[in-house]
Amino acid sequence: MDAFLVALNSVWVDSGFISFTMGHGIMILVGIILLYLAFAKGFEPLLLSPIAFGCILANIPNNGFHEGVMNLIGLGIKYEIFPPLIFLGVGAMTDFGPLIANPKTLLLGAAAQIGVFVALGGAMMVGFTAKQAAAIGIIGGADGPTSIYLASKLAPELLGAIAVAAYSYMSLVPLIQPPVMKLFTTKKDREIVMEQLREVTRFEKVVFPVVATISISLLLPPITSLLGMLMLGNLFRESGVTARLADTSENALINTVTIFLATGTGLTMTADSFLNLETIKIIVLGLIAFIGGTAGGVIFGKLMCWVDGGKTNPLIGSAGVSAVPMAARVSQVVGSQANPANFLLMHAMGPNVAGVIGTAVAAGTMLAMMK
Amino acid sequence: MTDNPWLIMAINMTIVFAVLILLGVLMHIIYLVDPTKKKSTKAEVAEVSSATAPSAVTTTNHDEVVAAIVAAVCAMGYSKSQIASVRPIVSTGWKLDGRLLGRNVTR
Repeated sequence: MDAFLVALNSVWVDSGFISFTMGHGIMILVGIILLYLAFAKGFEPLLLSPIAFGCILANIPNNGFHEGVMNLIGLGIKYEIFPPLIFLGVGAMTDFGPLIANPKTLLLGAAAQIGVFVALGGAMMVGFTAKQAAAIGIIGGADGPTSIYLASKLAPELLGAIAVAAYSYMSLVPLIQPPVMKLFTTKKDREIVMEQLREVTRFEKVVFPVVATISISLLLPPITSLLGMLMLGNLFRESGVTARLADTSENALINTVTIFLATGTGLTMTADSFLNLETIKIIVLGLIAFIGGTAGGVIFGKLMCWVDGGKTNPLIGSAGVSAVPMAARVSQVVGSQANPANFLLMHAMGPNVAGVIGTAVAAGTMLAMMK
Repeated sequence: MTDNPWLIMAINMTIVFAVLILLGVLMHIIYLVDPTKKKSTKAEVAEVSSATAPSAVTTTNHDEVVAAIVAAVCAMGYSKSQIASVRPIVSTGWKLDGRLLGRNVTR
Protein backbone atom coordinates (compact mmCIF):
# COMPACT_ATOMS: atom_id res chain seq x y z
CA MET A 1 0.00 0.00 0.00
CA ASP A 2 2.87 2.34 0.89
CA ALA A 3 4.52 1.64 -2.44
CA PHE A 4 1.25 2.43 -4.20
CA LEU A 5 0.90 5.75 -2.34
CA VAL A 6 4.53 6.68 -3.09
CA ALA A 7 3.98 5.97 -6.79
CA LEU A 8 0.75 7.96 -6.74
CA ASN A 9 2.50 10.86 -5.03
CA SER A 10 5.33 10.84 -7.55
CA VAL A 11 2.80 10.95 -10.42
CA TRP A 12 1.11 13.92 -8.74
CA VAL A 13 4.41 15.72 -8.12
CA ASP A 14 5.46 15.24 -11.75
CA SER A 15 2.07 16.31 -13.10
CA GLY A 16 1.34 19.70 -14.60
CA PHE A 17 -1.27 20.50 -11.97
CA ILE A 18 1.41 21.21 -9.33
CA SER A 19 2.89 24.07 -11.38
CA PHE A 20 -0.31 25.22 -13.07
CA THR A 21 -0.90 28.96 -12.67
CA MET A 22 -3.61 31.43 -13.56
CA GLY A 23 -1.40 32.62 -16.45
CA HIS A 24 -1.32 29.13 -17.95
CA GLY A 25 -5.11 28.98 -17.66
CA ILE A 26 -5.53 32.32 -19.43
CA MET A 27 -3.20 31.32 -22.26
CA ILE A 28 -4.94 27.95 -22.72
CA LEU A 29 -8.20 29.90 -22.94
CA VAL A 30 -6.60 32.19 -25.56
CA GLY A 31 -5.59 29.08 -27.51
CA ILE A 32 -9.13 27.72 -27.36
CA ILE A 33 -10.57 31.06 -28.55
CA LEU A 34 -8.10 31.08 -31.47
CA LEU A 35 -9.14 27.51 -32.33
CA TYR A 36 -12.77 28.62 -32.29
CA LEU A 37 -11.96 31.53 -34.65
CA ALA A 38 -10.09 29.16 -36.97
CA PHE A 39 -12.67 26.39 -37.15
CA ALA A 40 -16.00 28.10 -36.52
CA LYS A 41 -15.32 31.49 -38.12
CA GLY A 42 -12.88 30.31 -40.80
CA PHE A 43 -10.15 32.89 -40.05
CA GLU A 44 -7.21 31.38 -41.95
CA PRO A 45 -7.58 27.97 -40.27
CA LEU A 46 -4.43 26.61 -41.94
CA LEU A 47 -2.35 29.13 -39.98
CA LEU A 48 -4.42 29.85 -36.92
CA SER A 49 -5.20 26.27 -35.86
CA PRO A 50 -1.54 25.14 -35.44
CA ILE A 51 -0.73 28.46 -33.72
CA ALA A 52 -3.66 27.99 -31.33
CA PHE A 53 -2.79 24.38 -30.56
CA GLY A 54 0.88 25.28 -30.10
CA CYS A 55 -0.25 27.93 -27.59
CA ILE A 56 -2.21 25.32 -25.63
CA LEU A 57 0.73 22.90 -25.66
CA ALA A 58 3.20 25.60 -24.59
CA ASN A 59 1.17 26.32 -21.47
CA ILE A 60 1.10 22.79 -20.13
CA PRO A 61 3.61 22.95 -17.24
CA ASN A 62 6.49 20.43 -17.16
CA ASN A 63 5.93 19.60 -20.83
CA GLY A 64 9.58 18.73 -21.48
CA PHE A 65 9.73 20.79 -24.68
CA HIS A 66 13.37 21.66 -24.07
CA GLU A 67 14.24 18.46 -25.95
CA GLY A 68 12.85 16.36 -28.76
CA VAL A 69 10.86 17.48 -31.78
CA MET A 70 9.32 20.50 -30.04
CA ASN A 71 12.79 21.79 -29.28
CA LEU A 72 13.78 21.27 -32.92
CA ILE A 73 10.72 23.20 -34.09
CA GLY A 74 11.73 26.07 -31.80
CA LEU A 75 15.26 25.96 -33.22
CA GLY A 76 13.84 26.12 -36.75
CA ILE A 77 12.36 29.49 -35.86
CA LYS A 78 15.30 30.69 -33.76
CA TYR A 79 17.83 29.91 -36.48
CA GLU A 80 15.65 31.33 -39.30
CA ILE A 81 15.26 28.00 -41.11
CA PHE A 82 11.51 28.06 -41.69
CA PRO A 83 10.89 31.59 -43.10
CA PRO A 84 13.09 31.11 -46.21
CA LEU A 85 11.49 27.68 -46.84
CA ILE A 86 8.04 29.28 -46.65
CA PHE A 87 9.25 31.87 -49.16
CA LEU A 88 10.32 29.03 -51.50
CA GLY A 89 6.75 27.76 -51.50
CA VAL A 90 5.27 31.25 -51.85
CA GLY A 91 7.51 31.84 -54.88
CA ALA A 92 6.39 28.57 -56.45
CA MET A 93 2.73 29.51 -55.92
CA THR A 94 2.96 33.10 -57.14
CA ASP A 95 2.59 34.34 -60.69
CA PHE A 96 4.80 37.40 -61.19
CA GLY A 97 3.14 37.99 -64.58
CA PRO A 98 0.70 40.72 -63.42
CA LEU A 99 3.58 42.63 -61.82
CA ILE A 100 5.84 42.29 -64.89
CA ALA A 101 2.95 43.30 -67.16
CA ASN A 102 2.24 46.44 -65.14
CA PRO A 103 5.49 47.51 -63.37
CA LYS A 104 3.97 50.74 -62.05
CA THR A 105 2.16 48.62 -59.45
CA LEU A 106 5.57 48.26 -57.79
CA LEU A 107 4.95 51.76 -56.45
CA LEU A 108 1.77 50.57 -54.74
CA GLY A 109 3.77 47.81 -53.06
CA ALA A 110 6.25 50.43 -51.87
CA ALA A 111 3.54 52.83 -50.69
CA ALA A 112 1.88 50.13 -48.60
CA GLN A 113 5.11 49.85 -46.58
CA ILE A 114 4.25 53.24 -45.05
CA GLY A 115 2.45 51.33 -42.30
CA VAL A 116 5.71 49.60 -41.38
CA PHE A 117 7.44 52.90 -40.77
CA VAL A 118 4.49 54.53 -39.03
CA ALA A 119 4.46 51.66 -36.53
CA LEU A 120 8.25 51.84 -36.23
CA GLY A 121 8.04 55.52 -35.27
CA GLY A 122 5.12 54.85 -32.93
CA ALA A 123 6.94 51.98 -31.21
CA MET A 124 10.00 54.15 -30.57
CA MET A 125 7.76 56.86 -29.14
CA VAL A 126 6.14 54.46 -26.63
CA GLY A 127 9.51 53.31 -25.32
CA PHE A 128 10.72 50.41 -27.45
CA THR A 129 14.33 50.44 -28.64
CA ALA A 130 15.07 51.08 -32.33
CA LYS A 131 15.71 47.36 -32.93
CA GLN A 132 12.49 46.32 -31.18
CA ALA A 133 10.56 49.04 -33.01
CA ALA A 134 11.85 47.81 -36.38
CA ALA A 135 10.77 44.25 -35.58
CA ILE A 136 7.33 45.47 -34.46
CA GLY A 137 6.89 47.75 -37.48
CA ILE A 138 7.35 44.93 -39.99
CA ILE A 139 4.01 43.48 -38.79
CA GLY A 140 2.51 46.18 -41.06
CA GLY A 141 3.93 44.31 -44.03
CA ALA A 142 1.43 41.50 -43.23
CA ASP A 143 4.19 39.04 -43.97
CA GLY A 144 4.50 36.41 -41.24
CA PRO A 145 7.78 34.79 -42.33
CA THR A 146 9.53 38.17 -42.72
CA SER A 147 8.21 39.31 -39.32
CA ILE A 148 9.61 36.17 -37.68
CA TYR A 149 12.87 36.50 -39.60
CA LEU A 150 13.41 40.10 -38.51
CA ALA A 151 12.23 39.58 -34.92
CA SER A 152 14.57 36.62 -34.44
CA LYS A 153 17.48 38.78 -35.59
CA LEU A 154 16.65 42.13 -33.95
CA ALA A 155 14.36 41.42 -30.98
CA PRO A 156 14.19 37.68 -30.13
CA GLU A 157 12.63 38.54 -26.75
CA LEU A 158 9.52 39.82 -28.61
CA LEU A 159 9.34 36.98 -31.14
CA GLY A 160 6.20 35.37 -29.72
CA ALA A 161 4.10 38.52 -29.54
CA ILE A 162 5.28 39.75 -32.96
CA ALA A 163 4.64 36.40 -34.66
CA VAL A 164 1.19 36.10 -33.14
CA ALA A 165 0.26 39.69 -34.03
CA ALA A 166 1.54 39.26 -37.61
CA TYR A 167 -0.30 35.99 -38.24
CA SER A 168 -3.45 37.16 -36.45
CA TYR A 169 -3.69 40.28 -38.60
CA MET A 170 -2.94 38.25 -41.73
CA SER A 171 -5.86 36.01 -40.89
CA LEU A 172 -8.04 39.08 -40.23
CA VAL A 173 -7.27 40.74 -43.60
CA PRO A 174 -10.87 40.28 -44.85
CA LEU A 175 -12.16 42.07 -41.73
CA ILE A 176 -9.62 44.87 -41.27
CA GLN A 177 -9.04 46.04 -44.84
CA PRO A 178 -12.50 46.68 -46.38
CA PRO A 179 -13.53 49.54 -44.00
CA VAL A 180 -10.18 51.28 -44.58
CA MET A 181 -10.46 50.79 -48.34
CA LYS A 182 -13.97 52.23 -48.38
CA LEU A 183 -12.96 55.14 -46.15
CA PHE A 184 -10.38 56.40 -48.65
CA THR A 185 -12.29 55.77 -51.90
CA THR A 186 -15.54 56.92 -53.44
CA LYS A 187 -18.00 54.51 -55.03
CA LYS A 188 -16.97 55.92 -58.40
CA ASP A 189 -13.32 55.02 -57.66
CA ARG A 190 -14.27 51.49 -56.70
CA GLU A 191 -16.30 51.00 -59.87
CA ILE A 192 -13.33 51.64 -62.20
CA VAL A 193 -12.79 48.72 -64.58
CA MET A 194 -9.12 48.29 -65.41
CA GLU A 195 -7.74 47.45 -68.85
CA GLN A 196 -6.61 43.93 -69.60
CA LEU A 197 -2.92 43.29 -68.85
CA ARG A 198 -0.52 42.52 -71.68
CA GLU A 199 0.76 38.99 -72.12
CA VAL A 200 4.09 38.30 -70.43
CA THR A 201 6.51 36.00 -72.24
CA ARG A 202 8.26 33.03 -70.66
CA PHE A 203 11.58 34.79 -71.24
CA GLU A 204 10.50 37.70 -69.04
CA LYS A 205 9.17 35.39 -66.34
CA VAL A 206 12.42 33.40 -66.22
CA VAL A 207 14.86 36.31 -66.47
CA PHE A 208 13.11 38.55 -63.93
CA PRO A 209 13.67 36.37 -60.81
CA VAL A 210 17.35 35.93 -61.68
CA VAL A 211 17.99 39.61 -62.33
CA ALA A 212 15.93 40.73 -59.30
CA THR A 213 17.76 38.31 -56.97
CA ILE A 214 21.21 39.42 -58.11
CA SER A 215 20.46 43.16 -58.03
CA ILE A 216 18.55 43.29 -54.71
CA SER A 217 20.83 40.82 -52.93
CA LEU A 218 23.91 42.78 -53.90
CA LEU A 219 22.28 45.90 -52.50
CA LEU A 220 20.83 44.29 -49.34
CA PRO A 221 22.76 41.06 -48.58
CA PRO A 222 20.96 40.35 -45.25
CA ILE A 223 17.77 39.36 -47.11
CA THR A 224 19.45 37.15 -49.69
CA SER A 225 18.08 33.97 -48.09
CA LEU A 226 14.49 35.25 -48.04
CA LEU A 227 14.50 36.85 -51.48
CA GLY A 228 16.64 34.14 -53.03
CA MET A 229 14.28 31.38 -51.94
CA LEU A 230 11.24 33.37 -53.13
CA MET A 231 12.79 33.76 -56.56
CA LEU A 232 14.07 30.16 -56.69
CA GLY A 233 10.55 28.91 -56.02
CA ASN A 234 9.27 31.16 -58.80
CA LEU A 235 11.96 29.87 -61.18
CA PHE A 236 10.83 26.29 -60.47
CA ARG A 237 7.36 27.41 -61.51
CA GLU A 238 8.27 29.36 -64.61
CA SER A 239 11.18 27.40 -66.05
CA GLY A 240 8.83 24.80 -67.48
CA VAL A 241 11.32 21.99 -66.87
CA THR A 242 11.17 21.65 -63.07
CA ALA A 243 7.51 20.83 -62.58
CA ARG A 244 8.25 18.23 -59.89
CA LEU A 245 10.28 20.68 -57.83
CA ALA A 246 7.61 23.36 -58.23
CA ASP A 247 4.94 20.87 -57.20
CA THR A 248 6.86 19.84 -54.07
CA SER A 249 7.63 23.47 -53.14
CA GLU A 250 4.07 24.72 -53.49
CA ASN A 251 2.37 21.72 -51.88
CA ALA A 252 4.20 19.19 -49.73
CA LEU A 253 7.09 21.38 -48.60
CA ILE A 254 5.15 24.56 -47.79
CA ASN A 255 2.46 22.56 -45.99
CA THR A 256 5.04 20.74 -43.89
CA VAL A 257 6.95 23.91 -43.05
CA THR A 258 3.71 25.77 -42.30
CA ILE A 259 2.83 23.12 -39.71
CA PHE A 260 6.24 23.54 -38.07
CA LEU A 261 6.36 27.33 -38.31
CA ALA A 262 2.82 27.93 -37.11
CA THR A 263 3.06 25.36 -34.30
CA GLY A 264 6.42 26.81 -33.32
CA THR A 265 4.88 30.29 -33.27
CA GLY A 266 2.22 29.00 -30.90
CA LEU A 267 4.90 27.41 -28.73
CA THR A 268 6.40 30.86 -28.14
CA MET A 269 3.13 32.00 -26.52
CA THR A 270 4.03 30.99 -22.99
CA ALA A 271 2.25 32.79 -20.15
CA ASP A 272 5.42 34.35 -18.73
CA SER A 273 6.54 35.84 -22.07
CA PHE A 274 3.12 36.76 -23.41
CA LEU A 275 1.01 38.11 -20.55
CA ASN A 276 2.52 41.55 -20.13
CA LEU A 277 1.91 45.15 -21.14
CA GLU A 278 4.44 44.99 -23.99
CA THR A 279 2.37 42.34 -25.78
CA ILE A 280 -0.70 44.60 -25.67
CA LYS A 281 1.39 47.49 -27.03
CA ILE A 282 2.73 45.28 -29.84
CA ILE A 283 -0.76 44.11 -30.80
CA VAL A 284 -2.06 47.71 -30.89
CA LEU A 285 1.00 48.92 -32.85
CA GLY A 286 0.61 45.99 -35.25
CA LEU A 287 -2.97 47.01 -35.93
CA ILE A 288 -1.90 50.62 -36.53
CA ALA A 289 0.81 49.37 -38.90
CA PHE A 290 -1.66 47.22 -40.78
CA ILE A 291 -4.26 49.97 -41.14
CA GLY A 292 -1.52 52.45 -42.09
CA GLY A 293 -0.19 50.11 -44.78
CA THR A 294 -3.65 49.54 -46.25
CA ALA A 295 -4.39 53.28 -46.21
CA GLY A 296 -0.98 54.10 -47.73
CA GLY A 297 -1.56 51.71 -50.62
CA VAL A 298 -5.10 52.93 -51.32
CA ILE A 299 -4.12 56.63 -51.12
CA PHE A 300 -1.20 56.03 -53.51
CA GLY A 301 -3.62 54.11 -55.75
CA LYS A 302 -5.86 57.17 -55.79
CA LEU A 303 -2.91 59.34 -56.71
CA MET A 304 -2.02 56.93 -59.52
CA CYS A 305 -5.64 56.97 -60.69
CA TRP A 306 -5.56 60.77 -60.81
CA VAL A 307 -2.24 60.81 -62.72
CA ASP A 308 -3.23 58.21 -65.36
CA GLY A 309 -6.65 59.72 -65.95
CA GLY A 310 -8.78 57.17 -64.14
CA LYS A 311 -7.25 53.95 -65.49
CA THR A 312 -6.19 52.56 -62.09
CA ASN A 313 -8.72 51.34 -59.56
CA PRO A 314 -7.35 52.57 -56.18
CA LEU A 315 -8.60 49.39 -54.48
CA ILE A 316 -5.65 47.41 -55.85
CA GLY A 317 -3.35 49.59 -53.68
CA SER A 318 -4.49 47.82 -50.51
CA ALA A 319 -3.04 44.56 -51.86
CA GLY A 320 0.41 46.11 -51.45
CA VAL A 321 0.48 44.93 -47.83
CA SER A 322 1.69 41.60 -49.23
CA ALA A 323 -0.51 38.99 -47.50
CA VAL A 324 -0.51 36.77 -50.61
CA PRO A 325 -3.09 36.17 -51.97
CA MET A 326 -5.61 37.20 -49.27
CA ALA A 327 -5.11 40.95 -49.79
CA ALA A 328 -5.59 40.61 -53.57
CA ARG A 329 -8.78 38.63 -52.97
CA VAL A 330 -10.08 41.42 -50.71
CA SER A 331 -9.46 43.97 -53.52
CA GLN A 332 -11.43 41.71 -55.86
CA VAL A 333 -14.32 41.30 -53.40
CA VAL A 334 -14.63 45.02 -52.56
CA GLY A 335 -14.32 45.95 -56.25
CA SER A 336 -16.97 43.48 -57.35
CA GLN A 337 -19.32 44.74 -54.61
CA ALA A 338 -19.17 48.20 -56.20
CA ASN A 339 -19.35 46.90 -59.76
CA PRO A 340 -20.18 43.22 -60.40
CA ALA A 341 -18.40 43.42 -63.77
CA ASN A 342 -15.15 44.35 -62.06
CA PHE A 343 -12.37 41.75 -62.07
CA LEU A 344 -9.49 43.19 -60.07
CA LEU A 345 -7.86 39.97 -58.88
CA MET A 346 -5.09 39.78 -61.49
CA HIS A 347 -4.47 43.55 -61.29
CA ALA A 348 -4.22 43.34 -57.49
CA MET A 349 -1.68 40.50 -57.72
CA GLY A 350 0.84 43.06 -59.07
CA PRO A 351 0.98 45.20 -55.90
CA ASN A 352 0.54 42.05 -53.82
CA VAL A 353 3.76 40.54 -55.17
CA ALA A 354 5.44 43.96 -55.03
CA GLY A 355 4.42 44.10 -51.37
CA VAL A 356 6.20 40.81 -50.63
CA ILE A 357 9.38 42.15 -52.24
CA GLY A 358 8.85 45.58 -50.59
CA THR A 359 8.48 44.08 -47.11
CA ALA A 360 11.62 42.00 -47.63
CA VAL A 361 13.46 45.13 -48.80
CA ALA A 362 12.20 47.09 -45.77
CA ALA A 363 13.39 44.27 -43.50
CA GLY A 364 16.77 44.19 -45.24
CA THR A 365 17.16 47.95 -44.94
CA MET A 366 16.39 47.85 -41.23
CA LEU A 367 18.78 44.93 -40.72
CA ALA A 368 21.51 46.82 -42.56
CA MET A 369 20.90 49.94 -40.47
CA MET A 370 20.53 48.35 -37.05
CA LYS A 371 22.42 45.06 -36.87
CA MET B 1 23.22 54.49 -36.09
CA THR B 2 20.62 57.21 -35.47
CA ASP B 3 17.85 56.90 -32.90
CA ASN B 4 15.68 59.54 -34.53
CA PRO B 5 12.49 57.72 -35.60
CA TRP B 6 11.67 60.28 -38.30
CA LEU B 7 15.10 59.92 -39.87
CA ILE B 8 14.91 56.11 -39.77
CA MET B 9 11.45 56.24 -41.38
CA ALA B 10 12.60 58.64 -44.10
CA ILE B 11 15.74 56.64 -44.95
CA ASN B 12 13.89 53.33 -45.05
CA MET B 13 11.01 54.62 -47.13
CA THR B 14 13.40 56.19 -49.63
CA ILE B 15 15.35 52.94 -50.01
CA VAL B 16 12.17 50.85 -50.43
CA PHE B 17 10.87 53.17 -53.17
CA ALA B 18 14.31 53.37 -54.85
CA VAL B 19 14.76 49.58 -54.92
CA LEU B 20 11.28 48.94 -56.29
CA ILE B 21 11.68 51.66 -58.93
CA LEU B 22 15.00 50.02 -59.89
CA LEU B 23 13.14 46.72 -60.25
CA GLY B 24 10.62 48.46 -62.52
CA VAL B 25 13.48 49.74 -64.70
CA LEU B 26 14.97 46.24 -64.85
CA MET B 27 11.58 44.84 -65.89
CA HIS B 28 11.40 47.37 -68.70
CA ILE B 29 14.93 46.49 -69.87
CA ILE B 30 14.04 42.78 -69.83
CA TYR B 31 10.96 43.58 -71.92
CA LEU B 32 13.04 45.56 -74.41
CA VAL B 33 15.71 42.87 -74.87
CA ASP B 34 13.24 39.98 -74.94
CA PRO B 35 14.17 38.01 -78.11
CA THR B 36 10.94 35.99 -78.01
CA LYS B 37 8.69 39.06 -78.09
CA LYS B 38 8.43 39.37 -81.91
CA LYS B 39 8.29 35.65 -82.50
CA SER B 40 5.34 35.26 -80.17
CA THR B 41 3.52 38.10 -81.96
CA LYS B 42 4.08 36.39 -85.33
CA ALA B 43 3.00 33.06 -83.94
CA GLU B 44 -0.15 34.65 -82.56
CA VAL B 45 -0.99 36.21 -85.95
CA ALA B 46 -0.44 32.86 -87.67
CA GLU B 47 -2.59 31.15 -85.07
CA VAL B 48 -5.41 33.65 -85.48
CA SER B 49 -5.30 33.45 -89.28
CA SER B 50 -5.35 29.66 -89.21
CA ALA B 51 -8.13 29.73 -86.66
CA THR B 52 -10.34 31.89 -88.84
CA ALA B 53 -9.71 29.84 -92.01
CA PRO B 54 -12.10 26.90 -91.53
CA SER B 55 -15.26 28.98 -91.57
CA ALA B 56 -17.39 25.89 -92.18
CA VAL B 57 -16.57 24.67 -88.69
CA THR B 58 -17.42 27.94 -86.90
CA THR B 59 -20.83 28.15 -88.50
CA THR B 60 -21.89 25.01 -86.69
CA ASN B 61 -21.48 26.56 -83.20
CA HIS B 62 -24.49 26.97 -80.94
CA ASP B 63 -24.86 30.56 -79.73
CA GLU B 64 -25.72 29.51 -76.15
CA VAL B 65 -22.60 27.34 -75.88
CA VAL B 66 -20.40 30.15 -77.25
CA ALA B 67 -21.98 32.64 -74.83
CA ALA B 68 -21.38 30.30 -71.88
CA ILE B 69 -17.72 29.75 -72.88
CA VAL B 70 -17.12 33.48 -73.40
CA ALA B 71 -18.70 34.25 -69.99
CA ALA B 72 -16.48 31.64 -68.32
CA VAL B 73 -13.35 33.05 -69.98
CA CYS B 74 -14.38 36.61 -69.01
CA ALA B 75 -14.90 35.44 -65.43
CA MET B 76 -11.24 34.39 -65.39
CA GLY B 77 -10.25 38.01 -66.04
CA TYR B 78 -9.95 38.19 -69.84
CA SER B 79 -11.80 40.82 -71.85
CA LYS B 80 -14.10 40.08 -74.79
CA SER B 81 -11.66 41.80 -77.13
CA GLN B 82 -9.06 39.13 -76.38
CA ILE B 83 -11.21 36.23 -77.49
CA ALA B 84 -10.60 35.78 -81.22
CA SER B 85 -12.93 32.85 -81.76
CA VAL B 86 -14.60 29.95 -80.05
CA ARG B 87 -14.75 26.78 -82.11
CA PRO B 88 -14.60 23.02 -81.57
CA ILE B 89 -11.18 21.42 -82.00
CA VAL B 90 -10.85 19.76 -85.40
CA SER B 91 -9.42 16.34 -84.69
CA THR B 92 -6.72 15.01 -86.98
CA GLY B 93 -6.97 11.56 -85.49
CA TRP B 94 -9.38 10.24 -88.14
CA LYS B 95 -8.76 6.60 -87.23
CA LEU B 96 -9.75 7.23 -83.62
CA ASP B 97 -12.74 9.28 -84.77
CA GLY B 98 -13.87 6.41 -86.96
CA ARG B 99 -13.59 3.91 -84.13
CA LEU B 100 -15.46 6.19 -81.72
CA LEU B 101 -18.16 6.86 -84.30
CA GLY B 102 -18.52 3.12 -84.87
CA ARG B 103 -18.75 2.49 -81.16
CA ASN B 104 -21.42 5.15 -80.71
CA VAL B 105 -23.46 3.76 -83.59
CA THR B 106 -23.43 0.23 -82.14
CA ARG B 107 -24.78 1.59 -78.85
